[in-house]
Amino acid sequence: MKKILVNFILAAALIFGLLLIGCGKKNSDKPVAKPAKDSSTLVKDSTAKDSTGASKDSLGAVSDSALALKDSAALAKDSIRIADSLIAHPMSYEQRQGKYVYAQYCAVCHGNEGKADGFNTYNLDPKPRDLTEQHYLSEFSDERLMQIIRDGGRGANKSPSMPPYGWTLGKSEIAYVTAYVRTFMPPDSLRNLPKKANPQ
Amino acid sequence: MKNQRKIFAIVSVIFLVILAIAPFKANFPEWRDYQNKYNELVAKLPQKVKPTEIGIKQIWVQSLDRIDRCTTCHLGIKEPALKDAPQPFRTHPEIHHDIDELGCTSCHDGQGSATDFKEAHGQTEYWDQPVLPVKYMEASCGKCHKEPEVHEAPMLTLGRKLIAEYNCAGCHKIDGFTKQWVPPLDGVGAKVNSGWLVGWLKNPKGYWDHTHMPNFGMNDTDAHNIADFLKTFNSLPDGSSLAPLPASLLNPTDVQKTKMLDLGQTRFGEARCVSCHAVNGKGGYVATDLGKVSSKVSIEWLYNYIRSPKHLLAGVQMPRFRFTDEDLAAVVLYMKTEFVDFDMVQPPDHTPDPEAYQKGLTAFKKYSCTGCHQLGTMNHAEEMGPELSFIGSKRLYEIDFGQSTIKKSLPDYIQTKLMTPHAFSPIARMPKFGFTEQEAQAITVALLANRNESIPEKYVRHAPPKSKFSPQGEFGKLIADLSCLACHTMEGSGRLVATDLSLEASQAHPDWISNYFKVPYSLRPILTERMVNLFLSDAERKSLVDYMQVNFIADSLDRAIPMNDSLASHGKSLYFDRYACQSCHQMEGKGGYVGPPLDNLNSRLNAGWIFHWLKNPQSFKPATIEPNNNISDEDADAITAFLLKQKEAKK
Repeated sequence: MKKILVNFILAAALIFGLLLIGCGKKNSDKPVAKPAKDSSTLVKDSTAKDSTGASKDSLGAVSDSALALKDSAALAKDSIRIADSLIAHPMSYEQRQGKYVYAQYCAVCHGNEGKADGFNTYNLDPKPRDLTEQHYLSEFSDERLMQIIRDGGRGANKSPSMPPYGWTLGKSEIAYVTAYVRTFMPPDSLRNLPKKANPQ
Repeated sequence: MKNQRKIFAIVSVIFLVILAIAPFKANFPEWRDYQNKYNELVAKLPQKVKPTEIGIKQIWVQSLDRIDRCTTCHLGIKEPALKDAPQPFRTHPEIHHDIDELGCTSCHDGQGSATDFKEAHGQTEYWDQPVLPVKYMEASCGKCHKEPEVHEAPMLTLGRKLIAEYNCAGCHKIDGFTKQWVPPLDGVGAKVNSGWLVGWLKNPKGYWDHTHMPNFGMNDTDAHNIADFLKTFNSLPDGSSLAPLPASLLNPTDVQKTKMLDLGQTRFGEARCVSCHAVNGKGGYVATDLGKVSSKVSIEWLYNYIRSPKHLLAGVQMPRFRFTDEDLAAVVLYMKTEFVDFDMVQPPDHTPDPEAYQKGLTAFKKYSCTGCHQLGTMNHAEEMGPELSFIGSKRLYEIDFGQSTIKKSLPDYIQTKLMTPHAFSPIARMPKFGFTEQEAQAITVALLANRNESIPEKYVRHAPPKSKFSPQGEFGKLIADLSCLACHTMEGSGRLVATDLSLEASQAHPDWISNYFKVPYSLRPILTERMVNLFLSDAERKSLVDYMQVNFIADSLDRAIPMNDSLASHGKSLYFDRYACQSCHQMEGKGGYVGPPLDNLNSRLNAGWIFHWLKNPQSFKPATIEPNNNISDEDADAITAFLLKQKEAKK
């Protein structure tokens, strides 16, 4: 009788041990996800990193719900560290590409910093638009800006000194440079960008 | 018995609990949480976006052997409405590739089949190629794009350019790169003085900022030994020695000297030496700074070199200027008198170590000088550095980080090694090139692209075969002697510092070209590099122009345009009011500075060429900033007529 008992206990212990080995490592590695209210998360952090601030504002309520996406504290800490090292770049892909297009085609007049102080502006009348002027550009939607770059001043009811680039640059390049031009504006002015093309 | 039952009951309960945990865990994985959040997110969007079905998603690319489950969490990559959504749901930026065709890890690296955040993105026990950080992202473009210039991957392009310029292939084997030209050292003993040579060996950038020669951190003994060793090489590669100086240079009288200095200064300016050479930092940087040159080279060498550069340094890009004997002597005297390093301390006369040759040779080999320089028959690195053709696939365990505390990752290793070669081992042989952080990052990007991955041929874009334009006869000899292809492109060969000459005769009048050789001027006010004056003879100018008239011309660019006043005046209004050409071009002193001034076009350009340029500038010069205005034939005719008529009226 005693022998059976010992055998039984041994067998149970063995199975128990095996189960622990099978599930245990994972258990300790990654505790079952439980909402932890205060821990900051990967998602929140990456949004805050966005230099334009556009994502937070233009999505409004939506991003709030995404911010509520909480992970376990252990995962979150690691994730933030890894995600930070991956996406830590002050500009988005579009903006980085746009910067090169801007330097090639736009900077001679609009200036390296967008202050309309390129070397070609010396004799220009009217002077090119100062792209850092927030009251002006913030009235334009992206579609309108892209239209001006595409059709030039003469196609957009403005000075013909701004040439059309629609037959030189591709649609995506124009979108890139538009995204880059937005970085000249103070983030505050991006809050109320019009959603649709202005009628003009 | 009672005990037995108790134990049995307890064990059973434990058993059941454990069994229940397993399916519970499988049912609530991390990604499921993300998918639920995604559905919550899209439900709140103003636009209608289809919620996702819960379950693992994957992109299977058979030809690249990739199974990427990234889309299990990155659910919005193809959904434009999620442009500003937080990660992991944000729309993928617009790129030129189809994500379904390439998968995710082909570009981003990481572990595609993993469905757990850390496993997928990070560096884990069994996976040491984590997701590529954004700043090195363009490395992935280079896996398939083997061209030297990759549009939209400027970091990669810069990195490849730097690898070629700094001659990394001298000491490392790298696929796609070959050794660049570096001045050969035969005859160096008759060229430079030892004091300068020691200083140069110890710190090349101290003499010339733009040099590509790295700093070896050489100690005094080694520098002296190498200098003594090199000073023994006095004869030129073909065995000849330098021609003696003319009498006017040897002992000119004071009157002669003043006259010669004036003449020398004039010719030095006229020849536009500063287009390529700087003088104390002002001027070009494609060739060495001349500001202190007479403290570096002997006057005999300088005289012989300007007289026939390619004889002294085979392969050098310096053209042979057609100076008269008198001019040549004057220029040399001017350079010798003016371009002196007054701060240089002449080292005390030092008697070379009797064993200097042997010691110098040993040191010369130790620093692998022959990796870049040729000396006699020695033209290979004595000891090569590691091959870099597959460095992007190097495993972490293969890297010795030494005592360094940097982040243990391959990109960080490469970049740190480039910036501080001795960071990982004090006895590392790699010299310090003095890269800026951006340069080091660009080279890292280019190196990370060298993977040991088999990519199907249909994905790979090879570098275009290099066309070798080698005209024969008189013209061929002239452009070789004048190094035209060092700046100009002809028929796809050469460099694009200056204009492409392949259609020159269609573009410009022969008389204008001929005169331009005589008095070259900069067409654009903003350019720094300028056409040099080679003082060509009339016969030489004629050969060049005649060849262009036959070969650099295209009949398709001819066009008959009615040059009447009404067309020209219509053209004028188009020029100023519709196309606003004056915002970039000068005319009669007014207008922008980007393009060339448009006065006097009648004596320079052909009508057909202006017309075709207006129609599509990029077809002649892909990088030109002048946009394609989608101009109609009528408008282009009118503007051409205006441009060619406007000076006629003034005459």
